[in-house]
Amino acid sequence: MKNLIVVCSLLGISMGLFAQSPSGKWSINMGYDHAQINDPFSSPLMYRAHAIKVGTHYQKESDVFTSFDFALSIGNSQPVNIGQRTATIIEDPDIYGERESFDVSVNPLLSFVRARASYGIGWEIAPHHFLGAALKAEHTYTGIRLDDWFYTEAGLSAMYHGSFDVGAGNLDLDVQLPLLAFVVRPNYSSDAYLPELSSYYLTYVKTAGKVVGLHQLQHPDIRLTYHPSGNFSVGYHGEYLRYQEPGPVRLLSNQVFIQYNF
Amino acid sequence: MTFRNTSFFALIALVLSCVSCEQLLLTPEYENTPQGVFDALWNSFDQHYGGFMVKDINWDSMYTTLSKDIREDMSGEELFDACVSLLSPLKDPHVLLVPMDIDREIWYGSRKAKLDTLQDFDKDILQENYLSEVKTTDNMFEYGIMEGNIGYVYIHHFALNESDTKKEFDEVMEELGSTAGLIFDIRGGFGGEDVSGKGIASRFADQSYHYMNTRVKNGPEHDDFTPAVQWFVEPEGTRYEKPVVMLTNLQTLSARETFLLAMRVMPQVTQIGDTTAGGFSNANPGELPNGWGYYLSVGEWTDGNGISYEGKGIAPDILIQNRRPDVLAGKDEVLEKALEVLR
Repeated sequence: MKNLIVVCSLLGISMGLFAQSPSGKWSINMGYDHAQINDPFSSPLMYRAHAIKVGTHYQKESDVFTSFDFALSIGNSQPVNIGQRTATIIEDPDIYGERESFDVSVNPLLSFVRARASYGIGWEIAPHHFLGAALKAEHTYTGIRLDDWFYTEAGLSAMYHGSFDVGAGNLDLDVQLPLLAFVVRPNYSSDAYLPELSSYYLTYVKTAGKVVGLHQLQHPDIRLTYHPSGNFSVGYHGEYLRYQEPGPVRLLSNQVFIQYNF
Repeated sequence: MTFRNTSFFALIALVLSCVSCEQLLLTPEYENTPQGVFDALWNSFDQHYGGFMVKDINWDSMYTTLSKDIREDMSGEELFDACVSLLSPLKDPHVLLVPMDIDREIWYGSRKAKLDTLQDFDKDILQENYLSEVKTTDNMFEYGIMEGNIGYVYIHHFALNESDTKKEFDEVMEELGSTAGLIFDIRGGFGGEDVSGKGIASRFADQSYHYMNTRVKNGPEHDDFTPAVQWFVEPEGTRYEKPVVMLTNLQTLSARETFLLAMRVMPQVTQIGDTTAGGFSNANPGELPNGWGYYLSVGEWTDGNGISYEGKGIAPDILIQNRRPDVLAGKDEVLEKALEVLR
């Protein structure tokens, strides 16, 4: 519930902040997110998530380009080569020799959540081409190795925005590349063991949170949106993540979406 | 071709390459073959298991010896048995192997695996015969007062954080605070968080006690560990000053054992029953290329003097082992000994 309130608040804030701006335009979008995670440090299995993506986007283009983007992907993640796993756990016999059993399912229906938000500002380097910086935060939460798995990143990215005339419409290209970021991953043992433990996540922030640069984190993010005439647009959003702590983590996400422009 | 068209087609090519190059960008490390599964299991323990320094096991030799038996045409059951042979010498109650789609049950790496039943304990039978009224808190505790004004507390699990544990335990002590002695029953049941037991123990301490050291793996070598963290019981809240007895058996495991470490440093505490299971370290799950799961211990847990009880358990001050026929008849000799000591 707390997460839902945060998501709704972010959506509300984004719309409230920018909807009144006469020259900016904001939009909502919905689509499909196909994400693959390979974290051999945690598991030899590669995971694939099929998720629904919803989001909101704002951009304003004059001498200065500003944008805000928020996206939420919710879906199911399973090992690519094995798929959904189920098992029957048979408990030890009780004192009468009787045994109880129960069925378990690994990564049931909703087992993949990813939220991303970014705010960018760019300056014109050529007509309809802007270069600048963006603040970006991202959190991925799913199940890997029969346990929770997460990746959190917040930081400063280099940003490019370009607009190209294509046919009767135009194509927007947005590229972000993190230069400096605070990343939270589990520690080497994936264990929160401190005597002042209040939550696993906060312990990982304390024991494994790191400020990293481009040489440690490669996370290009590309967004293409085609705007034909009318209120609807179509788009593609791709991300590739490469990070080394506590072991090599790779994430590849390909998303397609339809966008309604207000 | 104009600049715009060139750029556009370059972009499309970039998108297509992102979509199609997943095999290049995301390469699995192990194959789903018997050798791949065995190697993944051995390597994972080699790099992440925290108990090698306190157990006299040559892990490299284990691989050399057992990997000879791995064949590409072996059945899932044969492979499972080979993996069990690899893990058995660890004698670690936190190590287990979870099969999928084969005719094998979960394998537990403890003495518990050698018991064909919970032979010496049944909470419900015993409480019916020794407690006139059983009260419960929302999560962790069942409690009551026994003959002779002796308080009895059974702990289901240690899953709450420290502050919630203290809050819930203080509810218990509102009723048991004026008893002449207290019995903690930590036989059977579930483990949980070490901080939970630390919170309970704070209600019994008259001074600060250093009771435990923990360190976890932070690298692939067997001796790669974080600096040791010292755990203290600090006096806090209303102190219970009367004698306390801890009831233990072979099912007393994990956070139940670290709670025992926190209590046994205090002079008014006596341990009665059987030796504990001997699995103190935190443990984490993992999985293999064929989808099987496992658990392994990730660190070294010792008492405040640096003594490890991993794989050995903590021997009681007074050894009493229940017999199954007695328990079925409603008699608990361990509990009766505790009542005798406290009276």
